[in-house]
Amino acid sequence: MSLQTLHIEFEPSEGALLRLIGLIERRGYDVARLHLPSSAGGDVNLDLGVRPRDANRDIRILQRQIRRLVGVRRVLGELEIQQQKNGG
Amino acid sequence: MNAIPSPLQAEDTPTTAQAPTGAELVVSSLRDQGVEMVFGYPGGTIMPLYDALPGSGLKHILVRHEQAAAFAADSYARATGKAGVCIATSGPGATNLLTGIANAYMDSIPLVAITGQVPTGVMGTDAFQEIDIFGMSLPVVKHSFLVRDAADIPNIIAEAFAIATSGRPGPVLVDLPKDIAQSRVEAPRKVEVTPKKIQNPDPIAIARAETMLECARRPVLYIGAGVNKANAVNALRRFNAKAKIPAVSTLTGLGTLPTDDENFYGMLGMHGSKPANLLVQEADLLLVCGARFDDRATGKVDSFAPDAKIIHLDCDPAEIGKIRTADAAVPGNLKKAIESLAVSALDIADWRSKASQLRKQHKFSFDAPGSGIFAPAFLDQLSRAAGDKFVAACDVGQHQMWVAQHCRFSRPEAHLTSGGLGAMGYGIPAGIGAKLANPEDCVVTVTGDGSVMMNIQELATMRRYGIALKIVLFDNSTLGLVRQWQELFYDGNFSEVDLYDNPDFAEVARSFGIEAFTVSRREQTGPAIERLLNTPGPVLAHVCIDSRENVWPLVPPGKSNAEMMER
Repeated sequence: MSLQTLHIEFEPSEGALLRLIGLIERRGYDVARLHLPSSAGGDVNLDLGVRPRDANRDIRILQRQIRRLVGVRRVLGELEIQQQKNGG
Repeated sequence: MNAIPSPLQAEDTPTTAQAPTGAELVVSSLRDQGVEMVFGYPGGTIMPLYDALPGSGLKHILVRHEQAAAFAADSYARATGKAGVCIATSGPGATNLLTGIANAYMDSIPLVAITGQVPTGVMGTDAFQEIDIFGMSLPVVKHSFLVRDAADIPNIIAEAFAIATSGRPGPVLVDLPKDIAQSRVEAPRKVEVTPKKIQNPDPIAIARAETMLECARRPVLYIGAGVNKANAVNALRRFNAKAKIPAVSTLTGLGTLPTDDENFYGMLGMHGSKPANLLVQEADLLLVCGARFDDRATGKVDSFAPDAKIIHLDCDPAEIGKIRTADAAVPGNLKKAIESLAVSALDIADWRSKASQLRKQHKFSFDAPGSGIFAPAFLDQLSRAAGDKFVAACDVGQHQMWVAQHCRFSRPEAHLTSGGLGAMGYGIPAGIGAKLANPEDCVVTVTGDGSVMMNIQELATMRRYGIALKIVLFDNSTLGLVRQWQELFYDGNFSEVDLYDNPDFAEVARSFGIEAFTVSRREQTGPAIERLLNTPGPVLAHVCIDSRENVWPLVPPGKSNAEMMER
């Protein structure tokens, strides 16, 4: 299964990271890579590499499931990350 | 029957000029949210909150097991449309709530669960009755809070209610360490909490949906519980009074259209009606409103409604495309979406006629062999006799499916059932919550001899508060639905389903102080229903039925909804 990249921005709060990672795993994805740069008290930026356990899983559904978590500000998939890098 | 007065009734808390404690802030914050009734069970770490309850104006219902507190609060929420509140202590009290919280999560019910926690100084030390309920509940809550500073309590409670009730509703946990509950707060923090807004439906998507509807020749309206949650029942009824699209419902969407609506064909899915399943399978368009293509509704997804295009309206964008791709996706405000759908006269007269034929052709027969009581007929007669005030609070099993198939529902709140989780033990606490929420309703818990034993202690709660709940207990001395599956799909290998040694349930009920009687012969059906409906207080009808009776029709696992097995 191919590795897919997600960028998540969220409000730091009790259990926020647990909630995010738990949701991703429960929805059928393995977390293969995780990068959590230090934040200066504001929102937290999380970069993830996730791999679906079932090839039929649509990463866009996972993105929407993450977006509905309280405190999540933004979720970007590979395409959006690329567009942002290209200044789009 | 009157409630039993207690010699230990606490006196009102004396007014003090002291700053409020965290526990007092919880209570006043609940009052600020309009809470009148809470369900709970006290214990060590939650004692500060119980200390603040007397004289607070909050009516506390003392259940006999925390799971029942969560179920009753869940059903209170379903019956009122407001968030239900349940309270438990840390450790086992909190873990006992979990099944009820999960039930609310699976069915998107607004619930605020407040748990005691050990003092912050000993958290993480395996202290007595310390359990990480915050962590344990993460998969089954919409959100959760661990209170670290008592000054935040007004905000946390306000946020908890806003989150629980807004958008797609769900349960919220507030974990309250004992020292925080006891600490005094000079300056509580309070900010205005604004619930997250739901997006308005996209007019382009609505226009696309309208075009698809106008082009369809075999449309079916597929109704889920989301319609009621979006306060869109009347909007949907108005829409379909004009469109006259043959309609089907999920288990939890029953009552959205009245059972007797001329365009309504019943529940779809595993134990759905044959007309409902056949219509869906032949449809060229499904207008899906507030439903999530649950596997019990779809059967084998690959062969579900194979020729149908999909219009999917839902307040939760994450549900759209999760199971079945939508040809017209309309995420956002469901009520506005339905109100926006304008359809001119649809060219579906032949389809309506076919649907009507299917209804006649597959009308359920209430004739059954033998002289015993036939549960489907009993339920049909009961719900008709009870009329529009009838509310069924179901347990889980065969009786639950018979209720869904054969009772008449005038509104969605008339059918309280554990849909997503399928939690046995829901019935009695759910009946208690519903009856307390709407005392004028004729609330009937329909349970089985398996399910009833999972929360039978709540007969004591009924007795204590004089809750005039009516219970119909279908007793087939077996775990009926499991037995049915073992008969049909496990070569009749009946493993651990025989409940031959059940107690005398009428005697059990009487020992709790509840009026009860037993019937088993078919001619006793009418008098039993009459006695149930005419008894002013709590009453239990122990109805003995044939253990070989199965629920029909049935879509076997892994099969398409077109492949229904019948009696």
